[in-house]
Amino acid sequence: MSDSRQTRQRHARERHGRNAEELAKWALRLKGYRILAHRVRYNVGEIDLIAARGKTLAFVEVKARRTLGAALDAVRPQAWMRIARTAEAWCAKHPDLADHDWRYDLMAVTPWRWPTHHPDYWRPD
Amino acid sequence: MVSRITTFSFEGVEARPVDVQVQLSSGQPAFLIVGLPDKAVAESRERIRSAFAAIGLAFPPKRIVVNLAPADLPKEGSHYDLPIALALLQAIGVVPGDALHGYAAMGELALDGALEETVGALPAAMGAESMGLALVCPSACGPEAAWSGGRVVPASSLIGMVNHFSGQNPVCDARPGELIDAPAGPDLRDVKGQEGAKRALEIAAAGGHNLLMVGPPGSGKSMLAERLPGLLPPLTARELLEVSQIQSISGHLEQGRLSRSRPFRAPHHSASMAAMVGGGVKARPGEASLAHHGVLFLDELPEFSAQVLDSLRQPLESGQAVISRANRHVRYPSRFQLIAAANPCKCGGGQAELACRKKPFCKADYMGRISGPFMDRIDIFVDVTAVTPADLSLPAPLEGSRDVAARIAGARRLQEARFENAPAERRRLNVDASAADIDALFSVENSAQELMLQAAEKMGLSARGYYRTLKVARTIADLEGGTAIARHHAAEALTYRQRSVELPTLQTARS
Repeated sequence: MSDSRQTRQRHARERHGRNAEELAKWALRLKGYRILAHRVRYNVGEIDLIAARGKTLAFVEVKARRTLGAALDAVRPQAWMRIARTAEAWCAKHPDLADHDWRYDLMAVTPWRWPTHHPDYWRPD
Repeated sequence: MVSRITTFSFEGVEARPVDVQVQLSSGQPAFLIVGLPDKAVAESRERIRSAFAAIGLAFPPKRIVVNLAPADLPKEGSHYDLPIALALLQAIGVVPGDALHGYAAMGELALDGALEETVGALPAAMGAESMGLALVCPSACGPEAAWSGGRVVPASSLIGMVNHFSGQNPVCDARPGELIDAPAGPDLRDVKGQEGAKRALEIAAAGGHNLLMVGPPGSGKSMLAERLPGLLPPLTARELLEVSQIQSISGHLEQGRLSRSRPFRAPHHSASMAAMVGGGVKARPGEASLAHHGVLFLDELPEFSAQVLDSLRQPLESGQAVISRANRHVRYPSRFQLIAAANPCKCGGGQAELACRKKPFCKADYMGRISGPFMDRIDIFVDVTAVTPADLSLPAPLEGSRDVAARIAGARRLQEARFENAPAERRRLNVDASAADIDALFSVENSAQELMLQAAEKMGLSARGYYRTLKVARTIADLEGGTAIARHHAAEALTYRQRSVELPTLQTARS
């Protein structure tokens, strides 16, 4: 049973994404963040990484692209809205984090470069 | 922790204190303004965000709630930017915790953090002064606000205010703008002939009476009216303050310069009701309020729409223009002297009214456009006849505005003394005397009383008409030195009453 070409491509992308997320995770840890969760998936949407440092919660979207510009442009407002809704759902399940500030960050992963972290990349209003 | 500062919302010329409260809390980042903001207030969010970015500050990733208390009072205008920004600066710790204590603020922010001029700085400064607060306002409004006598901090930019409140670079208090002298207006000496009209103008100016001049085009009605401000005494300190407050609200004070000359407003006859008594989205003052303590000149009176003229009846009677809104009333003071001019008929009349082919119906029609109750509020009717070439060839009259103004000042001094005990909001003029004042303070000779009663019967004077005539007679007597009202004073006053247009009966018209 051989997979179709499309399925093979999807698996390749998936693997690529996971590798990027692992890299991003380490990059955040080196900056002093604690990783609270990764790949949070609800029916309203999903979040790649949830990290915390001090009293700040960072909801991080990881994007792996060939260039930095492409990575920065990769997340559209609708996608951010889904992330924000997921963040609300996740925080509702974690009342111990209620006194934290929320922030939406972007982690851009490009080939042969250290991932770049863009804190406070998007806001809901 | 809530940081707060006071600002003001305007209701008429009154500044109501509004408490701006800013709270930061954790959760989904947001910037909310609550407390019935209108569009301009809600948009201040974007201006504050840009201004913060311009001075290198980012909003904290927090839930920022701005409350404008009292929450049920609608907030209008763009002057909430600065107080919100200052309270926010304190909330994020850029400005020390107690630095805003004892301050009120108003002002609009530009995207680069500069402060823009806003209207109403003077009433706001007076409100702040009465609460014992210093007012922070845009530096362009500083000279105007400083007239309130309170402490005014002129702010040129948001970064300047940060430096001021953190004590790095305190700003000096604003100084009041200059008091400009009344510009020399046209002189009464330029008007040749028209002795009767000049006399009527002098009486009207002395007692604050409403005047209607009727005459053909080119007879000098507008010329006479333009010379009225030059005859009136300058504003008193109290009047100046009231007039300046209205001018501040409507944005007419340039660089905080106040003028003692009385306002002279001459709206065009196409003016709408909102333009005349005030209104519009923000309930701005209209011409009737801008003419407060001055002159409202209505040229071509019958051409004004009937609705607009009738809307002036209430301010004429009560001295206040009330604009009713769904949820509140806005009041502006509007105690003005009405001077009106009209052609005798639509065709203009011309020399001795011969040009009109439809007389006398044309005249009756034209004057009939003005409602009776409005006419009833006019004290002095005067015919301004066309100027003959013989009049123009005469040398200029010896008596100029200055001599007449001196007589008027004398008459006004007498009135001032007479109405010493009148309520503060009333002008100390014969025209504002109540019926009780007239009985108590006007001494009338018996012969004059007799004449008045006879005339009242013959001319069918209403009670209002009777009292108004008596007030004019009082002013005439005051111009002569303030003796009791004699028979000739009453007689002259009676000649200024309105005479109805005499229409021929149908039969004579046919013949």
